[in-house]
Amino acid sequence: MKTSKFQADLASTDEITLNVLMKELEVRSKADFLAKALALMNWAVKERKRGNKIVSMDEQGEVIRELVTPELERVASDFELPSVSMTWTASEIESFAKLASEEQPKPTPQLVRAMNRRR
Amino acid sequence: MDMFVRKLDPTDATGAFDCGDAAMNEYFHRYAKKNQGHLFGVTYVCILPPSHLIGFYTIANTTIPRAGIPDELLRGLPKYQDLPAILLGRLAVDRRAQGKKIGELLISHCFDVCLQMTTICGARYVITDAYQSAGAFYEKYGFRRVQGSANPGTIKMFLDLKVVRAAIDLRGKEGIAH
Repeated sequence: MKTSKFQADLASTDEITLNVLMKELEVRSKADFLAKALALMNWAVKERKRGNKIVSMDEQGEVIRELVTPELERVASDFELPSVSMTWTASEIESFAKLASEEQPKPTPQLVRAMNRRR
Repeated sequence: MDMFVRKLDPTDATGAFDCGDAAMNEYFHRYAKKNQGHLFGVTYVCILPPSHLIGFYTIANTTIPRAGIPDELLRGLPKYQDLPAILLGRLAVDRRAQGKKIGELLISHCFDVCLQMTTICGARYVITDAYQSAGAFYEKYGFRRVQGSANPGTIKMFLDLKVVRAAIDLRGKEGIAH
């Protein structure tokens, strides 16, 4: 497998975290650690692109925490965005049509006040 | 300084807003800017200087389906196209600012924007899919309840923008200071 090298400057606190994690996870090299971290990030990005959320759950399946980062939100799928279209039932269309075809009521006092308070 | 309403800016900090409704909060915290970036809807915010966001509303274009409306019920309305309207998708006020007529400030700003839009692209109605509990708020400003919702928690309501225009015309006649 072809490999590439790169250097990274880490803050001292990040270096400590890195070393602690490597020990906890029993990862022997920084390259190996980076590969695993990359795989984890890659998985998170794919899940957000599908519109899924990254959460932690307790043993009962209750969501404890949701992972939200600006980077992950940038890749979140568009279909998760609230829709601006409306669905109308046949009853609603009929009700709307009846109301809209009537002469409309005069403006309410609150509407008159609201429309003139800033003028 | 007086509060004012302006378009949501990408640099605005939306995270502290809390209207007491989790769905509304989540929309404002996470989706309002994104929605606006995608041109799906535009959000306007009420600012308490220097930079507190104390209310917002989001609007977008929509249509009311023409199919299914009997011709005899469409007197004066076009029979060949869906009816153009503006969707007032969301409107909410921060809990700490409720009871101070911020909702009225936002809705009047919304109506002004809607009237401007009617001069650019045409729209006859403002539509909202309101929580049942918010129905009375919208009724105060002339919205009418549409019956037949499939969702028991919400109700569609509409307001003819000609009624809004008439409200502005009434200004002098009813002696309102301006």
